[in-house]
Amino acid sequence: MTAAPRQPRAARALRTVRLPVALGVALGLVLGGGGAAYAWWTVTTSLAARTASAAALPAPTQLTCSGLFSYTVGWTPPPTPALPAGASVQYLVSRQTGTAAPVQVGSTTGTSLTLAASTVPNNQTSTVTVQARVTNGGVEWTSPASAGVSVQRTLSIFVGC
Amino acid sequence: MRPGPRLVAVAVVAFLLSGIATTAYAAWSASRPVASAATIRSGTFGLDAAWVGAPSYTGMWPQDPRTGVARLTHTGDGRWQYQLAVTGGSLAGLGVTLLESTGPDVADCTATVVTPGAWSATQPTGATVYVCVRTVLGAGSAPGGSAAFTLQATARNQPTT
Repeated sequence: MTAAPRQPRAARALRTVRLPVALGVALGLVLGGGGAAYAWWTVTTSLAARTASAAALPAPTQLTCSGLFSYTVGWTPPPTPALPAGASVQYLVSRQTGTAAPVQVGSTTGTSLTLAASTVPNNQTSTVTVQARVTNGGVEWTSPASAGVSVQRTLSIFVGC
Repeated sequence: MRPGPRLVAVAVVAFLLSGIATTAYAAWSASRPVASAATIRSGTFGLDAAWVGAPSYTGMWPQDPRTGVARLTHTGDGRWQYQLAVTGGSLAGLGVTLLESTGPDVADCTATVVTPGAWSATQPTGATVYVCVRTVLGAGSAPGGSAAFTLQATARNQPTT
């Protein structure tokens, strides 16, 4: 009796490779869970748009001025929405002489301020303006400068508006 | 020297009895149809989103927050998650914060921030969720100016189990 011929070495090697590959694929499917198979339904909608806006802070108006040895500037506060509790309002008075930058000469929480003649240069005409400043929670908002009033100091001691 | 036929047969029997060669088993099987037919249908999925009332975000002073409440209601089948995003609102110093809420009133807002773009916890079918939308003008803000903003809500389904 003759023994059955052995299969070629290549065929035997191929059989030994196929089994591990099959097992590997099976394990991959089981352990991987097939995550790519999940699909979500999604819907998106938007609520009606809202407008966010900052309160307006216009300049004070209707400046008045009177003086002799000093001068007093008065103004009307700007119309604004009611301020939140804890907010403060201050008015800054500045003068500008010629083309130089405005210089702040005083501030107050009221609606008028008396200033010494020395706050304006002698023998020159200066323009005095007022700004409103609102402060709340450490944040300051400043209005534009009001229309100005002219102030002139003469002979060092007299101030005319 | 090659193994004899008798030795090969013994080895095969031993291999089969060892339980490794599962493919040697032949199973008996039987099949029956399920008594009552099962109906399979696809579900529905929707999201209603709206503001509660008409919140106002206009005329804000600095550091004076305004808060509105948005309502999200799921319609249809299955559990769900939601995700929120705020678009627009290009106003200097404007901050928009989303907060979890326990109800439709501003007083129901909690301190828990809802992170834009993050998926919420899974919600039950048909649930209504409230979210507070709080705006504030902080550092860098200035009087005047406005910008529209939109709250966008996205919902996705979640597995029932």
